[in-house]
Amino acid sequence: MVFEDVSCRVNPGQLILLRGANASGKTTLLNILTGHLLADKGQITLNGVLKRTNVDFQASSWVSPRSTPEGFARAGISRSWQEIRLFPNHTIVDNVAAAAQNQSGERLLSALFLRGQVRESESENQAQSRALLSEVGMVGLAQRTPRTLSLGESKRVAIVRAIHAGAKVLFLDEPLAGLDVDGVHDVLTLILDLVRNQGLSVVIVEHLFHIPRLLPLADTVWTLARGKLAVQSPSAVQEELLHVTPGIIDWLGMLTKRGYLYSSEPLPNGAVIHIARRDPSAATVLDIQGLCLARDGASLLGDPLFPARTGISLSLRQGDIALIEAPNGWGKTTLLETLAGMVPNLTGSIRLDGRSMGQFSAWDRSCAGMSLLRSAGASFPTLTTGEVFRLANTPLPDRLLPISHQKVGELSGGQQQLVNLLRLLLSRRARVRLLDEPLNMLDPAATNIAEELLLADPLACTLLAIPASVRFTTEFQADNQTDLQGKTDIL
Amino acid sequence: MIQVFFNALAVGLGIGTLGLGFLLVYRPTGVFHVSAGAIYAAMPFLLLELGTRGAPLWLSLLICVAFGIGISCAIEFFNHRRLGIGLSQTSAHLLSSLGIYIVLTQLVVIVWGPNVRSLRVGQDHSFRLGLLVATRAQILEITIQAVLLLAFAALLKFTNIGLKLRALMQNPSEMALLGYSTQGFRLLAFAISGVFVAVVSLVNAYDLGFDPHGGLPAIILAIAAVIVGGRDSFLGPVAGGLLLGLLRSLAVWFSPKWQDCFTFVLLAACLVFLPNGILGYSRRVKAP
Amino acid sequence: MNFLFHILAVIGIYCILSWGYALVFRLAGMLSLAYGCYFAIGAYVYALGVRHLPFFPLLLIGVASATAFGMVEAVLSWRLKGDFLFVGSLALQAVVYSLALNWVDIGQPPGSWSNLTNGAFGLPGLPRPAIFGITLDTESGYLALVAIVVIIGFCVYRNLVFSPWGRIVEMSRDDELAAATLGKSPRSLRVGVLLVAAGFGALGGMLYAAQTGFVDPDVAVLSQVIAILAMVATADLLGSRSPVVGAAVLIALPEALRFARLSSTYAANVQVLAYGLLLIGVAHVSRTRSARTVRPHEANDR
Repeated sequence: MVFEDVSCRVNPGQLILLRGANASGKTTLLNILTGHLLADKGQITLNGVLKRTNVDFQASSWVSPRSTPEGFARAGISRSWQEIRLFPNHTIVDNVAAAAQNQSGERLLSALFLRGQVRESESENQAQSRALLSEVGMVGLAQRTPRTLSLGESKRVAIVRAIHAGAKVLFLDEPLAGLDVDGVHDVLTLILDLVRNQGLSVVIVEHLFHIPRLLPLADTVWTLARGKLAVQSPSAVQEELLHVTPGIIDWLGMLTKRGYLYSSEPLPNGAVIHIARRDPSAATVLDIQGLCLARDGASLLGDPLFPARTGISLSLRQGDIALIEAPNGWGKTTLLETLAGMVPNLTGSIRLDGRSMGQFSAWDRSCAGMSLLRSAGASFPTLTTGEVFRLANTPLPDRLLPISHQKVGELSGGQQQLVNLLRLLLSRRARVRLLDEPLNMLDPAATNIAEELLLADPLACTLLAIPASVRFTTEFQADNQTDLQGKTDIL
Repeated sequence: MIQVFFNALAVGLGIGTLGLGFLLVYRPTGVFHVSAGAIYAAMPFLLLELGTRGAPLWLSLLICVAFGIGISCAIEFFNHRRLGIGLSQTSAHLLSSLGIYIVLTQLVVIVWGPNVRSLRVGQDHSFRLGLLVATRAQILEITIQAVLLLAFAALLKFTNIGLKLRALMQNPSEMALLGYSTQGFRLLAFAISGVFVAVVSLVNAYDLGFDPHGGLPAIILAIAAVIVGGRDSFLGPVAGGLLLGLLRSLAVWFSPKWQDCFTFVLLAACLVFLPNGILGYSRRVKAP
Repeated sequence: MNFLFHILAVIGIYCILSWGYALVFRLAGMLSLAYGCYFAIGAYVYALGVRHLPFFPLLLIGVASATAFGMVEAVLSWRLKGDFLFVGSLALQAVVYSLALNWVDIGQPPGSWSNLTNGAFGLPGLPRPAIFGITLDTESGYLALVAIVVIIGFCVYRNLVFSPWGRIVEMSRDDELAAATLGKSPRSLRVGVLLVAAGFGALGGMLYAAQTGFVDPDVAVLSQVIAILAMVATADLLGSRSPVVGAAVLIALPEALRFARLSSTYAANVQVLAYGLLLIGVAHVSRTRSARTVRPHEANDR
């Protein structure tokens, strides 16, 4: 069960913020509201200009034409994705032009027999598309292909495309992720123009990092937590954010009481690394120099021509515990997967106990001691807990004995996460423990266990990636206030 | 009626085992191992060739199985591994697998001729067991295939290799992160599937005869067994195979001529109406 | 000279077939082997109807029958993607082949309801079509008919590929979800592609039957459609948008083999084997090609 009994309304001309922790079900809700996923029960009503569309979910496998993405789209609901989904083999203007509804040229028979009419309406369409693009100052990009665009430009084109498709309600999935200050400004300007001047409704699903910036602009906030949706006013949420509960970063800071040395340093592209060091003279376990990250062939972080300046460099000694705090889209998962060998890096060196890892495959790196726990998809559903530990060559801890014969797939999300965490942290082989957002599903008791385990092995080092915390957000905001002032006339 | 069930068992176990071999490759690697059909077609010819050259039966069988493993692994090593591990570009894998099927099948035709052949001479011995009439070939089929499946099941449940195979089927990327060589396990999956294909091919050839073009129908039935029975468990293809075996023997009962046609129409219907199979866990239906 | 006309007509027929298949394989991205069914249906419709019906109505019936079968494949494509659609298409191909091979009853006259296809014996002695009273007995006359159909086919193919319809089919191939979010129904698009392709296939089949004068279950055999697949894939490989290049290459291939004086018993098999090698080659080259367009990222430290 992801969530239940969710009720919400979208009124015209509203800007709504949908927030929730990672793994709270935001994406699932988004998928259901845009027709990509079927709910088990419930109703969605869309009040179009001419007609009202009603979608009723029941647990049946036959899908009615209205509850498909295209059905929702024709009713005026559109969405964007976290990854850019522009059509890669067509120009930008074609990408936008294709969005128009009811094109005669898209009907097979018209394309065959009514060529003159098709040609006419297509040139009209092209003109309209260019006009839309020039309204946002991107008409110069018309003949380019999506691969050549910057992230911010691609996101804006995706929104323009959705407008041309006649969207009345636009769901944007983390539209600001991965953007620099300019990019954020451009995208927000576009969104606000749509809401305030063109009467569209926009629902932004965003993560904690960008929320303070969006709160003053939003009309209402939907908060998804623990399986329920709460509708709140922006000011209430702002109040909430001021009360910061102690998190893992505070725990790390408190390690100074145990003799650790604590420091924080910035990383390229607006992230922070907190390191708790047990012994400054201990041997270096992990050494990264000038690492530049890429995903699917597109550069994500760092310029391969200037790796020392723009790439990631850090080194961890035995017993160190490090936390990388970065907003969604920065590249936390890509960094950890690059270290583990699942993704090739653009440039830079990775050394484990002095040995270069560059030529090693993922499994060789694991044998050498580089262990990764991914944020999702790390379980073996039909294996029992005992078998998982056997597979990982790790002795089963006593606290897991009661569930050693239970299949992992039958455990709750939190239990599964704990099993995976224990599996990794108790491994005798691990020298570098890489953890991607490991605490998302854990309750406080399990979090304590995890924290104790992090300290258990003095010879290994640990690198965790966590989403940007509230304090990080407010501190980052303060640092960048001056930059924003120059550009904010609308904000 | 019980005769129909018995025939179904003989045929169905074969389809199921082939299906299992196909699933073993498909789950961890995402590759549609259509070229297994060529191995299926070639095995009996090889056995016959070895037999006519005077090799004792036990040796010929071993050589055949070894060839099955060898060709299967070669296909992975030289073709699929080169095309890249990872599930993007699946059509390149499928296209090349189809190409390999064609090349190997045509080689079989060129070397051994296109005609239907048989591994035995004359009518087979048949035994009367109560209401049943069972030919020797059928009994051989059922026993050997059942033994193979049971041995495999035991391997899965009780051995370390079995544990690793089970894990590999569910989460191949996590296996790599645990330190297990993806490349090595892919080869293992192809090798085991080679064993299955060789064994089923030989017992089927003993029962029904063989020809160079019999590979593709066999592999389509195997894929059908996987789809019908569910791709989420090892039991799925076997269950699917038994069901298809039942349908085929029913079809033979009504009209032997239309058996193939009937089977494939049913296969198409299954593909449309049962995309997750009867044993597959129901995935939340994504709006198509 | 007649031989040249004959060869040109064959190339023309395969061009028509390639255009139809290019719509399915390249434009819509479906790897489907059911295309051969449309070819076979066209051929058998011609064989059964040429003595009873004038040419143009016969054409229409052929296209209509193939299109009806195209709906079956379309339904399959709604539920199946990629590799599984391939299997479904193989099943369809096997069904049609089985129908062609088994719809036979020795005692009955060929073409009657109980003996529709005459099984492995086939339907021989088919006359050339008669258009406006002129029977196209000569190779040159027949070539003229083929040429006209080729021109029409080319215009249809070109119009479709470069129209907004063609554009959205390609976009749906690249990212079905994104296309759906724009309100386009990927299902209907695929139906459209398959119906048009069925038409091309049927036309090719009918022209083929008319030229050879003989139809047997071999028109439905797998290697037929493999040849067409190889043509389209090769054209893609050579970077040409037009399958004509592929058709020309693959017609030249058997001629070249004949030149090499291979044993005639197995010439056909070597030809099919060559198709297989071509498919493997295409798969590998297209892989390296797409890997090259992605920026190189293997610059790890040493």
